[in-house]
Amino acid sequence: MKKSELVQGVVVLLVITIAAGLLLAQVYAITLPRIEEQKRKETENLFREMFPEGVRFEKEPRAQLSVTRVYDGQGNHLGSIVEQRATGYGGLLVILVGVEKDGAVRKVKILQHNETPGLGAKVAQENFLKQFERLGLENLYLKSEQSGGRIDAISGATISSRAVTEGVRKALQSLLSSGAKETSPEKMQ
Amino acid sequence: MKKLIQWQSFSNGLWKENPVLALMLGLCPLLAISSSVTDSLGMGAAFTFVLLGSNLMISCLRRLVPNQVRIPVFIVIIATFGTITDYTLAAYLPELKRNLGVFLPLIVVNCIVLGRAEAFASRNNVLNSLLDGLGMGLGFTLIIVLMAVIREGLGNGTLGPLKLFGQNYQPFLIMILPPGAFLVLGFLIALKNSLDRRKKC
Repeated sequence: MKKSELVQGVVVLLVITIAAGLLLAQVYAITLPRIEEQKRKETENLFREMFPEGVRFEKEPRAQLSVTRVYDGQGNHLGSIVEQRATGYGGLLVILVGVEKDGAVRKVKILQHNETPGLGAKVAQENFLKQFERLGLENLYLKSEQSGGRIDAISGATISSRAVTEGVRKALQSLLSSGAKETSPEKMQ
Repeated sequence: MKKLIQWQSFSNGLWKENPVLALMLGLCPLLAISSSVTDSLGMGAAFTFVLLGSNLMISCLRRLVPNQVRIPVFIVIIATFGTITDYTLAAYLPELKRNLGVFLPLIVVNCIVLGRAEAFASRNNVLNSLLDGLGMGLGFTLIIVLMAVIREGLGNGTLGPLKLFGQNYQPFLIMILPPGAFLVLGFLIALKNSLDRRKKC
């Protein structure tokens, strides 16, 4: 009697779980295109906020780096936007770094984060992010950790602040070093 | 006779056994979201939808599910509806989804939903369970929106897109901050208790 009850329980749970899985797969398939569309729109809005004078945003396919080049109406190159992933206190952080033509940071935005609300989540706020404006590679460190660093960490959220700072530095570094290679022939493929 | 019972399973959630003021469940999203009227309406709607769906399914399946596996079955069903809500809001109302943040997926572990599944839907017929879900969901929505009206109104001088007071209004800032949520909730609970006591006398 006990065994048959156990079997029944397992079977019922299995059937319900499979049904739930199938249903969710359907819902996911239906909503996915809309969700992607919304995400794309959101990213585009952030791009426009960074480069209000930009007209053409061209995504460049590069192996390790997600770069969008920004041009104005006349086709002049205004700068680039790098999408950089970093690991914060709560996991994945996606950072957008707008870079001027001269290699300085123009604006930083946080596209996605899971930092602690009220503490680490403050890294996504303008107060913290505007510190990055006009900085170059050598200044992209926390003030407390490196001389020459110009970023004030948010108190109580050093890990999140460091993650963003390092992410921005890495983004700038890889953009600048890949920019140097841009003219080399292997880039043509 | 039967009709009376059904009305009660609906009205219970609104006042007598209001999930927030009487049962003290679901306080986490209540305290966090009630700083904005628009978000509160969204939260209440999402919450009511999950409660309706899970109560419906659990009541339908109540004779098939053996006692030992009932809790995992409830959780799977609730999580399914929670995830459907999550995806749908992400696709059609991304702004609301962003504002509700982590509290949207957390509906899954909300004690009101599991509590109603265990205490009501698994023991009552489908119609009563639906009414119970609707009553509890509306009861929650009522309180969260009421709190948001008080908090946003006083703390920010607005109700959604509406400006309440003139230019010179000095917002009562604490109301929109976390302590304000506790203050308002405390006063609402006190109000309900004193009204109930008066009725008894």
